[in-house]
Amino acid sequence: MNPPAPENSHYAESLRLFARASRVIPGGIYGHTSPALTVPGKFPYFAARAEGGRYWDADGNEFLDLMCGYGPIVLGHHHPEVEAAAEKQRRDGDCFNHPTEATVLLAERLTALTGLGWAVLGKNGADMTTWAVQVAREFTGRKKILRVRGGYHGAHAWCSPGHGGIIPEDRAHIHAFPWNDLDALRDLLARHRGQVAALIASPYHHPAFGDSVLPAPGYWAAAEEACRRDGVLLISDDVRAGFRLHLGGSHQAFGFTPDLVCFSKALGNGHAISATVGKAELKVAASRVFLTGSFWQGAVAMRAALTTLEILERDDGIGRMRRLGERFAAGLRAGAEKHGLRVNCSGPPAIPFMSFANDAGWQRQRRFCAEMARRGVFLHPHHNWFLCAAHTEADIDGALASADAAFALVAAGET
Amino acid sequence: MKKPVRPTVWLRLIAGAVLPAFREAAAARRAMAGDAKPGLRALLLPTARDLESEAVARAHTALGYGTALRGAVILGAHDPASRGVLAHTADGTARFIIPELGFDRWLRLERGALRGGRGEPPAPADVTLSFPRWRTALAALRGELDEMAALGTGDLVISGSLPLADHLNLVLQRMADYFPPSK
Ligand SMILES: Cc1ncc(COP(=O)(O)O)c(C=O)c1O
Repeated sequence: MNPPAPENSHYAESLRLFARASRVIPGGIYGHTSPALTVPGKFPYFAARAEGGRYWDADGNEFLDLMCGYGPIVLGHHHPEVEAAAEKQRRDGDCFNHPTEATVLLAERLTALTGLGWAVLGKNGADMTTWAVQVAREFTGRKKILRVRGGYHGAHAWCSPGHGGIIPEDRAHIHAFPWNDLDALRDLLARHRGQVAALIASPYHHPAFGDSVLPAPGYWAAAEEACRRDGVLLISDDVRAGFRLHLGGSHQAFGFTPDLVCFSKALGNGHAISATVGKAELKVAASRVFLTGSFWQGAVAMRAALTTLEILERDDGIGRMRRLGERFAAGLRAGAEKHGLRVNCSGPPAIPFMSFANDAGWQRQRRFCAEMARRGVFLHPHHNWFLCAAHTEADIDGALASADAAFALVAAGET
Repeated sequence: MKKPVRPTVWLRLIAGAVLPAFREAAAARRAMAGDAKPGLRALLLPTARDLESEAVARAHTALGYGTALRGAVILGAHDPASRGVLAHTADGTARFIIPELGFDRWLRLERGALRGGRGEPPAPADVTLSFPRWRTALAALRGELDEMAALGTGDLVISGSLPLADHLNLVLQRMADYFPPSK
């Protein structure tokens, strides 16, 4: 159960680095990449390099990358055209006293893709979700924000899933309700009538430690209607799903019309960039909410983003990821059934997840994912997975062959 | 962040968690070999100096976790901050073990209410928290352990539902707001 001594481990170098890290870095590795969230000792902790749909850890183990850096890698690691565009801009310069033309080009591109009126650019998802909340407050003159329980919007105090350093006042005006629960949403709207600035939600529910849940039929239409009636803005947090389901924003895949949409992750194929795109009537309010960061005008990431969007469109990357995801989910279902196991495949095909039925404490899930890692397929036991356009049918079939062996062990009940 | 403590909850903790700890400490003291037996205060609220004795440190670790787990049940019923945490925690059973000390207890959350006991839990554990080395358990008890790092190195092993462990840990940590460890 314990991580083995480094010298006996498949992940010796990862463990050695972690021992050093834990001396000089709080938590050793903090946040979503913490080993504490996987199965400690059974997963790599540190990466070394990556190419296409694969990466190598600090020990030289090769993995089919079905987490894609937790989403940013949408075309594959080190995509030659994206990197060529980035490299050209790097030679011209990245961090100037001014924005470059790339800022304007990218804002134009994002407004054209989404059909919305304006865009701003940042570096991380939470930069954008927090700012979007402020814009909603500025526009409406109201304080309260509704959100979905178990949703993730970043590590800022109003929305962090962490506990340390948070004071009740940080969340005094944040109210949560369960996903897909229209009655609970309407209750909150009624209880705080005239005080709610916005509802922020991801286009579908993708909680950690849970299956992904798509919107129930009619959910978004009814939620949108309830918000509109009360003058409540709708913020789509598309940081995780953006550009994997629809090039114009995932709300278009689910048929609703947000006032503000936050993107990050896949936008730059691994380059640090985020964006908020908003309706024209919010532009004046948006102009009044201060927004900046030392690196936010970095032109390299913007060129990478422009090229990423171009290639996704040109090569139908989204269609490709969907087809690969369908193949993967169908194969997982069949593989589990062959071994007499019941699994739940959830989420859109391009952002898949699988869990076992009757799996108290996620024991089977942890065993399954650890076995997959040992066989060179990196899946997370407690967080949705990601496909990218660089994956191939052969990659998926290889992962399914590994899954067959992993399912056999899970079915045998060995721990 | 230290949250406000309530005198009424503090009194309930004294009655339901601390007084039983005195009885346990007295028993632990009787079981200790030799003449130079530590005082009950040293076993229950040791200073850094008291903990230089391995016998005291080991006994204190088991007593401290026993007290904290009993306290969690009381906090879960009466402390608003803890109740707030448990209201949004899925039901389940957690097992806490420190094999070197023979420490093996459980907490079970059912419809927002906690109960606890020793040994085999009433239902299979959804999560098991284990300290392979008792010294690490002592560090955690005194708020001196980087738990995330300890999970990565295997000094703390959590097997099963991490959210349940995380939420119960928040309630356990509340004990330190009511009874800060002495330095
Ligand atoms: C839906 C969603 N919103 C916001 C964020 C925060 O993004 P970042 O970590 O870049 O701040 C994330 C990150 O995972 C996310 O998935």
